[in-house]
Amino acid sequence: MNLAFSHPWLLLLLPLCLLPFASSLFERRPCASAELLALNPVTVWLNRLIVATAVISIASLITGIAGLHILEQTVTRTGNGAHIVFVLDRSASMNETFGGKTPSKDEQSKAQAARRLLSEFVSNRPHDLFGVAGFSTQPFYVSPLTEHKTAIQAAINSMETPGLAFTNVAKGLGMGLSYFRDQPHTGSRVIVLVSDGAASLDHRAQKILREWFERYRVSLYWFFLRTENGLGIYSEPDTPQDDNPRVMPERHLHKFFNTLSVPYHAYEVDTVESLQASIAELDELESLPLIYEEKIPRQSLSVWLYSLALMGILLLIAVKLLEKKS
Amino acid sequence: MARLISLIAAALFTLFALLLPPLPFPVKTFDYVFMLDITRSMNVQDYTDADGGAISRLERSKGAMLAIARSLPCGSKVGLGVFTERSPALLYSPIDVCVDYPVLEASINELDWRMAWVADSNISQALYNTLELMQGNVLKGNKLVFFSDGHEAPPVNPRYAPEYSYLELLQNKPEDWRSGLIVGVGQHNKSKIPKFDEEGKQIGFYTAEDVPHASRFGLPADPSKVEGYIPRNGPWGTARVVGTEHLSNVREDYLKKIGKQAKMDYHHLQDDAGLSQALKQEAFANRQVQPTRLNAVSAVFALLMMVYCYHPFRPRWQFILP
Repeated sequence: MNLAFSHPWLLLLLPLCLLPFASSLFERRPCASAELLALNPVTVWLNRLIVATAVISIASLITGIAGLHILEQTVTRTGNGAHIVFVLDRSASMNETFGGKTPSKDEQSKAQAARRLLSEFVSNRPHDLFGVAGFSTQPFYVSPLTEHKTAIQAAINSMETPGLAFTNVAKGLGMGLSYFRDQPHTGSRVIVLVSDGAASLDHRAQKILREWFERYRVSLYWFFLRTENGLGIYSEPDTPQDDNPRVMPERHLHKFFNTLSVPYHAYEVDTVESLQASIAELDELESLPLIYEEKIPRQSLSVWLYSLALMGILLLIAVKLLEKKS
Repeated sequence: MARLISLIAAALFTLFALLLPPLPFPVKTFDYVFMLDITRSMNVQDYTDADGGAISRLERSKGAMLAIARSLPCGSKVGLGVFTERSPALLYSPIDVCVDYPVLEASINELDWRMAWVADSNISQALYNTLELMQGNVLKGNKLVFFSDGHEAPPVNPRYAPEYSYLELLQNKPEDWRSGLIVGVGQHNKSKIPKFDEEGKQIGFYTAEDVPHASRFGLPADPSKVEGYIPRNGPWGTARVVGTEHLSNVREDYLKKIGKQAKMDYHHLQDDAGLSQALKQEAFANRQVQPTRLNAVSAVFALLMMVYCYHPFRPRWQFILP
């Protein structure tokens, strides 16, 4: 148990506890001769008890004002959950609807739909750590793997702001994987790639990604937000000539992900409902036993101290009322 | 008798200290969005750190952001974004400076010029687009803190500057209303801009040959002033332009000018204390009612009563007078 004070300087008042030794609760009365007063042990002890009660009352008031509290503690617990990094596409096309149009008043853009559903997902998983990385042409670090749910929600909020440039999946995934570098390996590790396009990966990028996925043992979920009539993950080429990563980047990125040594799930999502269904499936699949730290916020002890003081003072009042009236 | 009364009063005050519910009290908080310039000129190392080493404008701005986050009262919020060329990218909407400080710290430390998705720099357009972002749902009601050195590359044609009065955010606002603060980053004397290769290693500095020294975009405002003007083949003149665009300093006049149009104050970044003072102005504050526990105050009164009850300066003897 770690104790601390919010305002330790107020402890300078503690010498005030000694006041009851310097002064008495009772009126001093003249007496013909001190010899007449028989001091029996009971009287002596009662007097000491009264002084001690006063000392304790004053001391507990002062420590209460100084803000005695138990420090915030972290307790390690085990539960079910995952370390999840969202790798979010911030390219300009995310601001269109699934139909590929600029959203009208009562339609949702892909980014808005994804934002709403991801933010629900985050609030439904209490023990998970979440991280967010974004990418367009370049990756950007948004927020580290953390249990601060409000910060994660704030990072997911940013999906609703205008998109940037192109889709460079490799760099985004690289950024996402780097989040696991210094993390203890517990529970499931998941990267959720949310994008509406793909790009061809060069050999170097493929090699690095393959190596990193293997090293960090991160399973991959790809939510591919497919635009109506656009190319999808499972599109078949019309002619063999078209079967190359330049023409059909989605198909070839999917093929590459399938060759990774880690679990990989792809969801081709073309409506808001199917996005919801695939997030629900992710929710179900990713809950391995997880060791997580739970923070117990600091607890103020003022209430106990004030109660102690109150009891002492009430006792003193009772004693004072018993004093012989003149 | 006095002692009995003070004891009873002490008991009552202690009881209050125990039972007093949190009372609503007005507090001042601040909601900011930090928008950082990550264009190349921000790599100029013209600040010094605590040990006297040179640090870049970018690093200096990051340090200043963290210092502000620490100095704002709890309950204040800070969001983060970066901009390059003409568009801003929001990393996250404002989060609490006390509760979520670890996240703020981690993400501010990771800000890097290499996040830039394009390399040009058009600051007045970027500011315009950022203000447009500020009037959207996600960021409504926050104030903007715009960190930039004011150095645009390539130089812009002032004829095509954005018209800030189109922004709904700035319309019908009282005279003293402010949309935020522009923070000028950099020193007044010119310094060389570092040049990096694809891997991010520095390979020297930009030279006069590397950069355009005057705007070549669109049409000049007044052709009669352009030397050697040829309407079709040389709308910007035919003379070779040499200048100092490969060197960078903070363009305060420019930042002040666009700041005025965008109803923003201007502050030149020197020390953290100065900046945090500029950001704690009344014009940026939110008045909020926050439940405040005043139980300690009641306990202080109880303590005073106890001290009075036991104070040692009473007459030693009280004679009962007939």
